Amino acid sequence: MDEGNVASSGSTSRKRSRSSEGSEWKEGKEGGIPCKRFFRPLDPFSALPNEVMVHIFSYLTHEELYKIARCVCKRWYLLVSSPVLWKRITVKQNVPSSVLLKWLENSPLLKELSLTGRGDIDFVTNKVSRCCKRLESLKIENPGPNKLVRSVGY
Amino acid sequence: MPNIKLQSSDGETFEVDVEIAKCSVTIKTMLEDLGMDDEEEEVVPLPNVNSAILRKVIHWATYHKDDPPPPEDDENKEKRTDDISSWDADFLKVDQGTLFELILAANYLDIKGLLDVTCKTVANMIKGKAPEEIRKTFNIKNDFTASEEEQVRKENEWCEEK
Repeated sequence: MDEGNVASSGSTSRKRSRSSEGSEWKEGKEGGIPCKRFFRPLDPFSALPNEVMVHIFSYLTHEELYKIARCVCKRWYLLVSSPVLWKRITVKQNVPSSVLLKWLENSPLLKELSLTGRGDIDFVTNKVSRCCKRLESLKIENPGPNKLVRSVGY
Repeated sequence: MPNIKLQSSDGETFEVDVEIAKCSVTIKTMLEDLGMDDEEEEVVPLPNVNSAILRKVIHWATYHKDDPPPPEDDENKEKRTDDISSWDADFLKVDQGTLFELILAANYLDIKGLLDVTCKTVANMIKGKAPEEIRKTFNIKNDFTASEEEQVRKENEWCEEK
């Protein structure tokens, strides 16, 4: 195992004793983070600004955001609704219409919507035309013998 | 190659190749704005990064110094989390506190490649877990009231049908 990865580059010549395990919050006095001897370990997300949280969330799928992340705590619940996370939505048939409609209502920045194998196209496009003024692309795909692909640019 | 000195919050000074230091947009901008390019003895203070983390950041930046500049985020592309290189994955085998401090440092120093890979690593720690497991993993307090939790659960009922 190469634990000696720190400072092996030659660009610094410091001793390398305090790399991984010793560093957590020990030196956090100037960051306002209390010493962990007196408190339960802190939720590390509490130190992250919202935009960084949203950046992390941008690596989750919409189903993961909605089913899982949203249920963790209030802050996550609110951040999951950040419109920037909902600029591009791809849904298959497993997402119920009622849930998809909620997503669309909360996606004012939606630019691209892909629907695959859904039976509620009229319903959805009707909603889209009312809620998602910035939509640029709508892709409808129905897998099956008569494969239908429609792409609409706005 | 000219070097530059970076000073961590706890006062340690690191001498680094300027080109490597400039992978931080924050440092690059600072050097350009202040015209510090040819000042040899200039020390750049980084009050938000301690020495343990700064050392890691420099190590990461040194390894990645010849990488092409990271592409701008393409909104139209699905974001992947399974494309972390094995070097980065090894580099990020650190305790949770260090990982989050690296995220904060990458954000403050504006190093997109490091921010992306650390955020991906955290996203991978979230993926595949139930909300309660996520709370346990990160010591997150469940601050929903009983009725709020019930409401969220109701909205999620379709998930359980599967």
